[in-house]
Formats: sequence, C-alpha cells, structure tokens
Amino acid sequence: MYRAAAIVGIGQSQFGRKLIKTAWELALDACLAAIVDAGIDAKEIDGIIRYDAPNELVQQGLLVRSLGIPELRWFSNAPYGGEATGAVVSHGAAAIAARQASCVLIYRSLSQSTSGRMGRADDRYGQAEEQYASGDRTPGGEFSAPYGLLSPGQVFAMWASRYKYENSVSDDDWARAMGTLAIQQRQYAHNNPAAIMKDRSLTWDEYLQARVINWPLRLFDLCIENDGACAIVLVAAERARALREDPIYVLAATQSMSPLSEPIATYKRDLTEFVVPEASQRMYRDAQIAASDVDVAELYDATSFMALKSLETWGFVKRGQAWKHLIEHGTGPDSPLPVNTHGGHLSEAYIHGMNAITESVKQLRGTAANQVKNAEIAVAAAPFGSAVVLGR
Amino acid sequence: MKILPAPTALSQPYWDGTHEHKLLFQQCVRCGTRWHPPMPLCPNCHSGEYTWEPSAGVGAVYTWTVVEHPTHPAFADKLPYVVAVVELDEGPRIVANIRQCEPYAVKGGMRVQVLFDDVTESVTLPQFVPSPAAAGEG
Repeated sequence: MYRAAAIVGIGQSQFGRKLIKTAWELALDACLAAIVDAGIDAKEIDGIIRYDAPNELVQQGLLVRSLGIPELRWFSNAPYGGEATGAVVSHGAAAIAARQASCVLIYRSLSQSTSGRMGRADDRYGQAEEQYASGDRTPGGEFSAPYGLLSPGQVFAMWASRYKYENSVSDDDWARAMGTLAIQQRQYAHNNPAAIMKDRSLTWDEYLQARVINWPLRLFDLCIENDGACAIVLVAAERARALREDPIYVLAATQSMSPLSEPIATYKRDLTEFVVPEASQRMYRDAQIAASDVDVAELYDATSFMALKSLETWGFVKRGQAWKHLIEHGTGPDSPLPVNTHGGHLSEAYIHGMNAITESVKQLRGTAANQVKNAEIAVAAAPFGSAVVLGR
Repeated sequence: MKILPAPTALSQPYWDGTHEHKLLFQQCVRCGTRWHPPMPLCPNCHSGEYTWEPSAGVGAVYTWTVVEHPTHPAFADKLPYVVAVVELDEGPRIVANIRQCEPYAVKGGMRVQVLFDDVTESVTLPQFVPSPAAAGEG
C-alpha cells in the first residue's frame, strides 16, 4: 500500500451547532469541494467509502444519484464510529492498490441537530414508565443501560479513570495534563476560521471551574456535538501526480481489533492498552518510518483523554507517560509533537475523525491555519486501532 | 421511570438467575474458561457446552466513573451516581452501580459485594456495595 494511493482533494462544509442544511446537503457541500479541489469530474468517481456509524444518514446511493456518478464499482462502510478514521483510508487505498477502484470518494456527514446527540439518551427507549434496552453493547445495552451507562462519554470516563488510577496520577496533575490539551486546542481554534469555538475563550480558570460531567472528565474535556461534513478524494499515485504538484500519499493505514476491544470497549481485560502494540509497530513499519519521524498528529478526541492515550498507543511516548509529556511539553506549535492543530473535536468540530484527515492534508500541503513548519509526515488516528500515516 | 433489560435467548439464564438472587456467569465444561457478557460458545476452545455457574458475588472495582450529568430522565434524580466495572473474584467482569457509598469515596481495587435490587416484580438488577471487610480496613 506504501505510496500506492494519494489524497488529491479535500473538502468541508460549514461547521455549526444547528445548521439549516440536512446531512445530505452537508455531505454534498464537502464532497463537491473535494472534487473541485482534486480537479476531477464527479463522473470519474468509481468508489465511495463511508462511515457506518450512528447518525450517518447519507448512504452511498444518495451521492451516486445526486452527483450523477454513472457506476460505482467499489463501495464499503467502515464500522464503529470514530474507529473508521484510518479505516476509511485503509479501505480506499486497498481498493486502489487492488485495482478495484481508481477514484475513491470518502466522507463523513453529521447532522446531530436533527438525528440526535450522543451525549443524551432521553428518547432512545421511548417514553414509557418502563423502558427496555437490548443487546450487550456498551453503552446503552441490556447490561449497561439499566445502570445509567448510556453515553459514550461515560465509558470514556471509565477508561480515563482506570488510566489515572493505574498510573497514580494525582488530581492536580490530571487536571494539568487534560487541561493542557483542551486549552491548547482552543488556542489553535482561535486561528481557524472554520472552528465552531473560534471566538470562545478557554482560560485555565474556566477549564478548572467547569462542572464535572463524568468524573474524571470535566465539561471542556468532552467534544462538541454539531452539524458538518468533510470529504477527501483518493486516487492512484500516478494519477495523483498528473492532477497536482502536492499529492499527499498514504504511507500506511491500519485497522485493528482484539477480544472485547470493539468500541465502545468496556469489558476489555486491560482497559489501559487500547490496541495491541503490534498494530502500531506494523503501521510504522509499513510506512517505512519511526513514530519519532511524525511531525504532526491529529488524534481523535471525543474526549481529551483519547488524545492523551493516543500519544502512547501510537508510539509517541511510552505507555503510562503521556500525562507527564503533556504537562512538561504540551502540544503547542513549538512542542515536540503538535497535536490537533485544527482545534480537534473539542474546539473545531466533531466530524468523527474526518477533520483529522483533512487537517493532516492541509498541514502536509503547507496550508493549515496553524501551520507546523516543514511538516512532512502526519498521523491521523482514532484511539482503538484505526489510524493512517500520510506523507508528502 | 426505569430502564430494564430486554433479555435475549442467550442472556435469559443470566436474568433468571438475578431474579433468584444468584449472579451467574458462563463456564466452559471442557476447558473451564469463564466469561461475561454471554456468548454462544467458549472463546478459548470453541465448545458449545457450558454451564451457568453462581458467583460468590464478591469482587473489586476495576474502573468507575461518577456520573454528574444527566443523560436520561430515568436517572435525573439519581445524580451523582457511580457506574463501575467490577471484577468478580471468579474472573468475569460486570457493569453495575456502587451503592451505599459516597460517590467520591469509591476507589480502584475497592472490595465490593453484590446486592440484589428487585426493581420490579420480574426484574432484579445485581448491584454492588462496599464489602464489610473493606469498610473495616478504612
């Protein structure tokens, strides 16, 4: 897969808390922008990959007919919400390498103002005095909903809690580590015209005094819920070079799963090792780099803890050390590894990791709002096993 | 308002057990592997022969959160409440609330024991409370 496919187009819709446009319209805004950016005709698209996730209303068929695509010959869905982040690129690059498709459109569109929020479960089981939950998923299944384990954020808090306990992180150090991420990302968002939180300050006082949502997560440790869409166009490397001078190559992409690690994992035996270490090692081997070669990381952050843990999972710091790294070095423009330079899900928008990919492309093209100097290699990664390494 | 489990054929024995104030987990007849949540076969040796064994109902808090923010009207008047993953001494892990304990007094590794809560005539939820021995240790 190494350098067999490249991203030649990126696009995004407006991001906002309550937009007039439907998820379909937002998807079209993002896809058309990516198609224009790629300099291709929509009729060339022969592959579409989408997120198979809650609140995904826009299936391939809606785009095939609204974009007038004559024939789609490869389409797939990547499951488990944000864990599709690297997977969608993996599927697309694999299809291109196997000559199953030549021009692949990948997108994620959310309209949480109409299709529902993840942080609330008010009407999920109806309105009756006695409501029923089925299936063993967490949160929200028969073994969790009766106990009030109903939102992803509550499970994420249990991951964070175990990490904090196992690494003996004091309450003060915990707040400093998590706040470093949240506040730095807000500062990045201040320079990003598309960010929902562009004009909203976040000081240390505001961070520390905000209410606890699910201990040990405070309000500003949890992402925005919003409407918006992002898209990319992926083609074979040779075609990419004909289309533009700055294609961004897929160096490697990965999907990984082990017993009880399926998102949103609750019963996994070791809840502080999100991914088998082999997955990260394999990805960097495939990419022909070391983690230390990465210039910028866009790490899926439905909560700030996910970005913290991903620093360990994806090999940037040793296991159990990310909280110290954050306190000592931060994630700013001059830190050893700038993280979530668009503002991330906490402060730009929650587009299920697709905005981590589009931001990675901007960084490698040299066009990001918070440009990391001479960025050559970027990683976009979700916490539980899905990631992509991109390079110039 | 309550949220209750809707058992499947696979999980019905578990909920039948809690109704009788027994906390059951699956155990492989062939290799002895134990597990929860329910699965149709042994994940170790793939035998479909398993029994439902009773737990002594004692274990330790593996991880937990204190929920301060409401997500559903059924829990609005219960805030703050603790959701924990409890590791039973027999091995399997169970999601439950930690009751009879100040929420911020819950600790990792805290010893807990099961308390059966008959939430309706037909449904009983296993819950956990600090074990008396642990309370004595302070």
